Amino acid sequence: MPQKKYMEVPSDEPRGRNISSYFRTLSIKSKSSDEVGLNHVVPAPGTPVSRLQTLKNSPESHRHVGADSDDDWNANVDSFDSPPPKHIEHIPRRSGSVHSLGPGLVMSQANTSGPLRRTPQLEASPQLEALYPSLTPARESPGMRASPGRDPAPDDLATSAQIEELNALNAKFLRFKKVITADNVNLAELKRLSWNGIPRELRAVSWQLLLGYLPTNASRRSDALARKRAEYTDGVAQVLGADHTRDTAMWHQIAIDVPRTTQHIKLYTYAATQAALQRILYLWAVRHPASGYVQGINDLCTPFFQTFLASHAPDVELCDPALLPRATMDAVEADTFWCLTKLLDTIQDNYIHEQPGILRQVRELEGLVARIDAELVVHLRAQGVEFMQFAFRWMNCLLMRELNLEMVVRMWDTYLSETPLGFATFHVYVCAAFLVKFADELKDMEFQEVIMFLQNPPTRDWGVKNMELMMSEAFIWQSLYKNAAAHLRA
Amino acid sequence: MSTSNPVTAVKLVLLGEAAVGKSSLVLRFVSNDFQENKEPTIGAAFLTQRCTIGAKTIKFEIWDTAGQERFASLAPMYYRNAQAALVVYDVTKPASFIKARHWIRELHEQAAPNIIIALCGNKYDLIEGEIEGEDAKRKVSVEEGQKVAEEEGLLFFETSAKSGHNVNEVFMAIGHKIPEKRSETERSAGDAAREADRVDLSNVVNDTQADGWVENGQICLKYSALYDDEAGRESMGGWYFPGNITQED
Repeated sequence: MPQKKYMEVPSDEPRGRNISSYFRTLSIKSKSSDEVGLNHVVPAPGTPVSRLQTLKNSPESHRHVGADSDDDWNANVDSFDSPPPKHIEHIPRRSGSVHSLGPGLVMSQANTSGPLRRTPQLEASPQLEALYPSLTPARESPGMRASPGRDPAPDDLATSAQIEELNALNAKFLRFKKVITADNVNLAELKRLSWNGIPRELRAVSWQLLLGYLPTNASRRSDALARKRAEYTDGVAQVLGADHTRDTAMWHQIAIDVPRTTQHIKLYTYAATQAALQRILYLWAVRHPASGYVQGINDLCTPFFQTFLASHAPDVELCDPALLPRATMDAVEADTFWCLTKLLDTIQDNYIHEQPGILRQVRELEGLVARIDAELVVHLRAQGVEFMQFAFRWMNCLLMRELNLEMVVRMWDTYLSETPLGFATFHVYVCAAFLVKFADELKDMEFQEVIMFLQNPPTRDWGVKNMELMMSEAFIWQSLYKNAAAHLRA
Repeated sequence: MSTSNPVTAVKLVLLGEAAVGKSSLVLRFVSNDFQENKEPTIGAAFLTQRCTIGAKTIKFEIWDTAGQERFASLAPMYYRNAQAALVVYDVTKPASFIKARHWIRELHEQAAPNIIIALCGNKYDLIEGEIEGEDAKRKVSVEEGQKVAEEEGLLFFETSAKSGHNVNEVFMAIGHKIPEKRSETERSAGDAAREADRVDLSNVVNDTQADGWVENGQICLKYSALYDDEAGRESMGGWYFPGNITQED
């Protein structure tokens, strides 16, 4: 397991070694991968190796300290509300929950308390600027590690690893902030950064920029947002008003699905949430009669809704939107609608009659996997497993049924950074990486086991690192096979 | 009857309008569990359950399909090779009953000619004990369900995945109608296996020691008499409307 490999790397190992071990963990099965030369592929723009970025940019990040602290961006999408800074000088080790994965990397092992459980270091990140000076010495004087003849105590290691992690997060946050607060956002740069994951606090605004919902020009944002939000409110008023003939079948279908959406997260059990989703989905459906509402689109609402709401509600999973100011909720709802619309624009043929987009993607997936791991495809065929039987849902719900919401949100950081957006094309490569990840297990299974395994894949304990590895693999497959259509012809 | 108690694999497909409780019926049958607000099925879900009926062990291989109209073009992939189908509607939703009749017609036209079909009016718990009237939640009467079942030669039950009412009974009834065949080794045996398709009616009746009679090649049983029925189910959901037992000549 790649995860184990990380954990074997001592945290005071030279960084170069970590990177090479990173490459070793990519299980390349394609024969042609050697010819391409991974070392050339991976550090290219959009490289998924976040650690490379951290390394390369770390001197720069010191420069950012202070330089950005006066920047104040006041677009009204997002309040960077944060609890009052608390001074953290020592981070106690959370025994058992955190493993050192090498310099600057901390991985929480088990998401036992829900898909969006926050690690302490993430919670601290809004105040990282204030924290940074006190953290810097710890980073620059790892004397405890260097001292000869003494093995560092595990607690010290864990603590320093966490400090490194905080520093990395801080540097990342500052880089994002610099890009986002520019008068004219450099979208290419934002995409490059976002590919490797967006800091939680900046996600809402980053997503809206990447989707082209929020203008890159800061001076145009207030007007644009006000206009779009008003447009949404008017649209809802119109389709729910007396002059509009209600499409009762569509309304009913949405009404029975909304209370069945993401019910394991408390936020979605509240009437205010459900009413908002109902309006969003119904307005979208009425405005897109070729597809109308299709089950699965309800799932696609939730990452937007939750991400945008999180800017206003620190504990978003437990938040009852009815308790928030009306104007805030209206804005979140409208933004969700428009961003969902932008996303669906890229995959509309997934949901029209006979769902040709999905049929095409499933075909592409099969062709792709046949290139990556022919043995697996032969085995699946021999067992009578059809790709449609398991991959239909992967396409229809963009893997949202297979991965917890936190992972999906991280995945969307990358999808939204792809050009064109990754939901239609890059997603197929991600699905290939997802399937191939389980190839060894699947090859030992019969029909029934295969199907049951794939409809409930063991991703419960996946963390962000698993996702990033999967997307790195997808990136490599895409580099190898995209625009090489001959490869995909089965 | 075979003495080796071979496992008969039965491919079963569930069809019906969205949110009538297809997945919930399967969950009740397979795990004896119920979840409120179960998420909509996308594509189809696959589950299995074994049960013993008389001397037979049947392994149901169940494809639980998505109900929304948009996904309907996927359904043939799942009913194509099915030996049994459960067509489900919601007794409180007349539109779902119309949809059920469409599915029955499609199965008769497109599925295997000898497919065993059970019609299920689900969500019986919502109308249990209800008195008929204008405000009644029940929108599809027992008689309507029965009539369709009789005309089309289907098994018919009113069920509740929530309370468990009649859920096992549906699957048992289907199991009863499954000819003994298709054990793992027999499946490829071709014509020899086909011989086993013919069911000895006397066997079926003897197995279950039920009140039953054979009429024009059909087996007719009062189904609630077949099994220990501690709940004293007397609803019309307990009637067993058979089709032809001998499917092939």
